[in-house]
Amino acid sequence: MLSKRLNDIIFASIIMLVVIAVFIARFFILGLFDDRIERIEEENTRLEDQLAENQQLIRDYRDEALPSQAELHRYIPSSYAEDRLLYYVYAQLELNDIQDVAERSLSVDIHDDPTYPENTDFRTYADQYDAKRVYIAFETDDTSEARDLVTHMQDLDQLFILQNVRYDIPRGGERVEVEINFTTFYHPAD
Amino acid sequence: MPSRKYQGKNREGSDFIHVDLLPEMKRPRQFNVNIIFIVLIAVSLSWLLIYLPLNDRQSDLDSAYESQNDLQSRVELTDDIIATYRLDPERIDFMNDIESIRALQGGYGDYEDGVSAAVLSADSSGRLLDFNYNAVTGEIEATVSLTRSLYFSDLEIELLEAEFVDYVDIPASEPDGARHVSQVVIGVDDDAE
Repeated sequence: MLSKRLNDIIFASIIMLVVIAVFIARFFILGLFDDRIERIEEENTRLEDQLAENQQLIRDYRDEALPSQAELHRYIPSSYAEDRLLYYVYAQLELNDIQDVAERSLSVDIHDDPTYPENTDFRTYADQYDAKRVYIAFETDDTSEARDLVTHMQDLDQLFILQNVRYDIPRGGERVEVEINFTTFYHPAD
Repeated sequence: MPSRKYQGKNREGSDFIHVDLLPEMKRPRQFNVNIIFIVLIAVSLSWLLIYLPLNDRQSDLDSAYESQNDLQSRVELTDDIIATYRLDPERIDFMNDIESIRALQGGYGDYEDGVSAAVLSADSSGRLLDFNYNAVTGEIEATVSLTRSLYFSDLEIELLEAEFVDYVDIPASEPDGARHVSQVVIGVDDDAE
């Protein structure tokens, strides 16, 4: 026969065990439910975003005839060849009467992997597309040639974005060097 | 069967035999009320701490599933509409990128004209010695030569009035013969109308 004190201790211990077991079961079961609810709500948020995007897309472009992919590649070509780009740039210079390589110290260089400061639009698009920097330097006694060249390049189908232009202002007919950097983009290969 | 027997002699010396005819049986245990108490506590706690919150969670879960089904149906419907109109999101993104990249083409010619005009407004004999526009940083660096150092404050005012100018930094000018020269830094605001 157990003593009354021992009996009371066993009884209290069992009560404690029951309470602890109920609490553990509560946190375990409710935790499982909470996880499931959280996962579904995350999925619902994603679906809501997708739905909003789809609805916006339909609203914005339902009545618009989208240009074909080929047409878009006129602005950002899909295939890059350095020689082709180089000849293309020389051709544009020639169209702007900047063609005498020796006399005008004309030089054109292509930089394959240009770097840009962080948090700039140039960096954003250079990360997204295949950016090439086109460096053009020539001598002139009329800096309006630089402006005409920039305008001409910006009017081309293929995007040539002026990155920087630098020159001294000629005072009295002397020749100064003009340096221009353009950035052009290519669609990365899939 | 009675099996407990005792044989002996009494005080008088007579022999006797004692037979216990009662059946052997265990005394029933006393019923423990504590067990009922424990079960009661377990059930009450479970009801309060598990069943009630679980019931609420089940309602939340049902509601979340209901929303999910609804959203999925609507997304599928819009996907069908997109396919019907042949809207290619990838091509649209590409098209939008082209427009955004094209917008990076700053008005370099206008900037040079604006700076030249400001120099001449500040000092009719003022000269722009060099011009360096960087579209990536959105800054123009120009070396300006004016006949008086005081005119650089006028130049700052003139430049700040230009629409495309965001900020102007003109360091103290240095004498260059009879003139004064300073390298002016102009922040370009591409979004200016």
